[in-house]
Amino acid sequence: MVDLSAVQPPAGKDTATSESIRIGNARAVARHRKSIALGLAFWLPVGWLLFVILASALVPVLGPVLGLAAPNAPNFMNLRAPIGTEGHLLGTDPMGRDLLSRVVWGGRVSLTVGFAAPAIGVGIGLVLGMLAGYYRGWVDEAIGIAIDSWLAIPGLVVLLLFSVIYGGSLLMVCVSLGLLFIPSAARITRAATIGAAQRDYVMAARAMGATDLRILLREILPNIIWPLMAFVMIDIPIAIVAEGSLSFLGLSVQAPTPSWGGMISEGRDYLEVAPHLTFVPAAVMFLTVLSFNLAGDALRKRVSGGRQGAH
Amino acid sequence: MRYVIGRIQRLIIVLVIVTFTTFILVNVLPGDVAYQLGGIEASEEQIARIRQGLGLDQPVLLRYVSWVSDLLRGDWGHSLLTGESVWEMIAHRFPVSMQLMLMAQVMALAVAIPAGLATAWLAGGWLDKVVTSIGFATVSMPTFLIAILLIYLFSLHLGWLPATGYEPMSEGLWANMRPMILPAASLALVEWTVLMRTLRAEMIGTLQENYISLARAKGMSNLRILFAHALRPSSFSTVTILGLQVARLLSGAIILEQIFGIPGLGRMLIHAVYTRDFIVIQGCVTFFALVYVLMNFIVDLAYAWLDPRVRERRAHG
Amino acid sequence: MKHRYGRARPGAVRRILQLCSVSLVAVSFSLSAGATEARRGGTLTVGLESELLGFDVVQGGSLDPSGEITMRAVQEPLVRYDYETGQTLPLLAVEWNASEDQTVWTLRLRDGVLFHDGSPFTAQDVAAHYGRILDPEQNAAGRSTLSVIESVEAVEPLVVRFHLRHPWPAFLVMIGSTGISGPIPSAANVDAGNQNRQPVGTGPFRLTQWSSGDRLVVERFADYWAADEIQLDRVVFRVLPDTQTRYASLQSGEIDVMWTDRGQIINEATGNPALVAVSVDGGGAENILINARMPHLSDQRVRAAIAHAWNQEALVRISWQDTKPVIDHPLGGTVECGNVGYRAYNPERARELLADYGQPVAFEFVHTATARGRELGELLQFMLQDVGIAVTLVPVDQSTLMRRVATRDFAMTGWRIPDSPDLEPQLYSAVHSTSQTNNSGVSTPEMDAAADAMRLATSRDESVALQCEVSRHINEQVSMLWRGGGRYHVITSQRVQNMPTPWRGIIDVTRVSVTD
Repeated sequence: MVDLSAVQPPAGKDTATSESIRIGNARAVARHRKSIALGLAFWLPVGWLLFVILASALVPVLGPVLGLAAPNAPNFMNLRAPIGTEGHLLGTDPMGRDLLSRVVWGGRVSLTVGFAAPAIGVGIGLVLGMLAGYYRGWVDEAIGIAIDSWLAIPGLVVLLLFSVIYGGSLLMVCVSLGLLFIPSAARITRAATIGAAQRDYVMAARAMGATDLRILLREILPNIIWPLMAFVMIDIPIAIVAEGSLSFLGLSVQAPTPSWGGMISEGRDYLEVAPHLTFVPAAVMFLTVLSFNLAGDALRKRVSGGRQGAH
Repeated sequence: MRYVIGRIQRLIIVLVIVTFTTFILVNVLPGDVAYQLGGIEASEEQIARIRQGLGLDQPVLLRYVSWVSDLLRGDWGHSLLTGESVWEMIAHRFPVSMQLMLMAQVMALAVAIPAGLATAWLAGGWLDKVVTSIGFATVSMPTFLIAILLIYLFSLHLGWLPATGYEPMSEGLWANMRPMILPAASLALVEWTVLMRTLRAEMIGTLQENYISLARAKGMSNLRILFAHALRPSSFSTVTILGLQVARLLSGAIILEQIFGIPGLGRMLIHAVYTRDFIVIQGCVTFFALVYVLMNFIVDLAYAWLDPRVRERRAHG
Repeated sequence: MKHRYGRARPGAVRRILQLCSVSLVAVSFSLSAGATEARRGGTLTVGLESELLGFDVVQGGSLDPSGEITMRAVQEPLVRYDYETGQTLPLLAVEWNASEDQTVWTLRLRDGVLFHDGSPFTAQDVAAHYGRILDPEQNAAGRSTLSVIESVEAVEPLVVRFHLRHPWPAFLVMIGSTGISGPIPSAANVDAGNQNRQPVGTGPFRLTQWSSGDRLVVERFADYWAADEIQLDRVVFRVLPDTQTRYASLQSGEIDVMWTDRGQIINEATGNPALVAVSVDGGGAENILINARMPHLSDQRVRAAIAHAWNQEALVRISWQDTKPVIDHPLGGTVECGNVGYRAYNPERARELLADYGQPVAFEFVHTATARGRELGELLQFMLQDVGIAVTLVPVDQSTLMRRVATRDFAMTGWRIPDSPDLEPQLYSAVHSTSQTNNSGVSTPEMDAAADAMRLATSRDESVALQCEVSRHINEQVSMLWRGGGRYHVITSQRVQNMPTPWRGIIDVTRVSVTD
């Protein structure tokens, strides 16, 4: 679950590094102006993502209309059917359930977690980071220590303990994964807040007697929210991969809800006789994560390229 | 010096918080080791007596205090399940996990350095695009998926490498390394992208420096410029990233040890969680936290030493 | 009256003939190989699913099959049960007799047996061992099973006497068991507190290395009392919990022997000419407990409806891929019980029973959060949904599952009846109203009467007939569902010779030899 702990870019040095990556990219980009425009490398992934998101969102309604089999109906007479079987486009799983239907339904879990976990983590991290960056002093110190402590426990251990205590539900997975996104979000927010708090308009607002809450919400938040959104984009694929890893270990959503990681793990026993049981969900998961990464990267390039141009 | 003392203070506070949080978390785990010891035919009354015998009926706070005071005297406690010394268990397992992580890092670097140099040198060219795309592909795959793909290809189909297993060093170096190749490669395939991109970015910067242009003008060979003059000044961030990847590698190792049947710390921890061997979980997490905190401490010090401004900033921040 | 006790379990001989064809080939193959010159020396590597907690009967607890396999190499019980003839054969005890009322058993021990540390094996060791198990203070896992034994005394240096509370046909089988308490350790080593991790026994091998989580290495004990029966120099027990891992290691030659219950692997191995797959039919069962203390499930009609909605054939097909038999009682395929009132798959009947009950039925099914556990849960949920019962799945880990069963905090869950040469103790504890491990909580006066009669039966035939009777009550009352019977599979590489039939899936590696 390497990818999971990418959730935790450790310490502020890391932001420095990603900064240098960005600047590096920007330089390369500046030399190759053409790649700034959102080309195929952006629209192709976005197209796939839209397809996956729409398919999994609409499957409860459209599935039966389009003749898609139910994802949880076993068929004892048709176990592990190959791809292209009559009535089962992608074949069936070890219990005779339609693989295509399960892959589409499985997307609901992955995408829900992919969007919800970063949202939870960034939401909490935002509040902590703003408090730490605005008030500094002991508040900063206390939040810093709490975050350091949280980082010192390996992410997988946290997930393992949470899933054993609270059992596998979608809510549990979103919340416990979300918690792991807090440190990085808090650190980025804190750094941005420190910068913003020193700006003239904040000083001015303070001099005019504005309350702290007002300054935080009205003056600082609007200035730091956008960099943070870019950060959420990076977190989405990480969350999807992490959920897949949890499912693979049997620690995510409970049966019979299909999930991509769970399907990969179920197919593993049959890798030699029916590799499609593993490779179909694996390919869909891979394409989705890759698309998020590519689209995110293209957006980032555009943003930093644009900035470069403005200077 | 004040900076160092400040860091150490903070380090200790963090360790106390981590151990205490873990103790609480571990103690709200449903079920306990007594059921494991009692076996499939144990009655509730038997369970209660086993629990009493292990001291599990004591209040949590009391147990924490006694655990900490033992730890301070160097006693990491004994497994509730087997009676083994937790420190000895860690001492046996950690080198195995360590080997996996080191091999993974070496492999990742072996790919990342040439790839980083080449893509920086030829930034924007077709090679750059291909390598960057491969980087995107591997970083978009979960570790477990890479592991399954590698097993499918190299063990089941080609039969080149064992799918699993572990041989101690006493069986010979190659026997020991061979089964570690696939798991280490699985980790490396996810890690190398970050290293490569970091190196590439910094390298592009370095290559624009005047002395490089000078070397070029002098007609120095490309390879010589890259390795002799540009690599060292460009590797600062990469080296830092290496240190910071420890936490990520730890989590990755936990899953891979499970898939490949490697008797490392990760498998020991998962087994301890499933069997509710509280003292072992506690010992493991404390050990992980210790490693993590110390690594960060060292990186911090190295930073401060390299760049006095950091020291200043931190002391005032 | 002096006699050797031990009667063939009905059909025990026939059972050998029922090994599936593959295993027949395998057995005859190893037998014929055994007839030729057996090679002395060599190392055998065994892949185990789990690691035993320790060799001490109190600290280590009861042993699972993996533990039994390891234990057999290092420590031995007093007698051993021959599954093929149904006879009890001498091991550390050479002869025995029972008093007229069958409550006092006197055993004469083998002379000249040495422990691994060179000290002699005596009746004192036996008495001390059983004294420790029966001591309530010690909480030994096997105590409740052995509670029929009142006391054990060392009469002479080589004579030991067991006093029973009542006649117990299972007695010899139980002291010959390697799972709970049979293997005798050195009393001195137990007293020194070393037995758990540094065992001293009388077995053909002594433990020389134990890297926990990785391997146990045992080496030939030169002064073993039957040293010339032992061919191997060394056995390595590798701990490989993941079945795929184990099978891959067997294919690549890193291990020589493994046990598994994964249908996919068994079928693959059967078709692999480089491997030898051995199957053995036995007793015991995989089952699903129904907790009658829960709402709805307390009503026998609901339980019967569940039984009729449950399609055992489908599960055996999907989960075991037909590598286990479909059963109607847990006594093994060779025990002819006649009609035991098995409730066959019949959704119509299930719906009728539910209509008669008249209330909507919903409950939870607790399963392990493993691929197999999930599969079981999903199948049960689907089958019961088909007749209108709503099942919520609750995935938990093994430890939580055991706690929930022990505290009766479950409605239904997957469980098993472990196999044994005599299933009487297991059945008794599963059904009797006074048993602390009657997990389903179903009991009727008739069931108790049958169980009591079974426990006190004086002959094996009588006992088996009553075991059928108890099974009939289980099906009638539906305290559990069956999900496959006892059929055990062992896979070895071609270099393993002279492997004895692995009854109950327990591989006795001590008399094995290997080719290069």
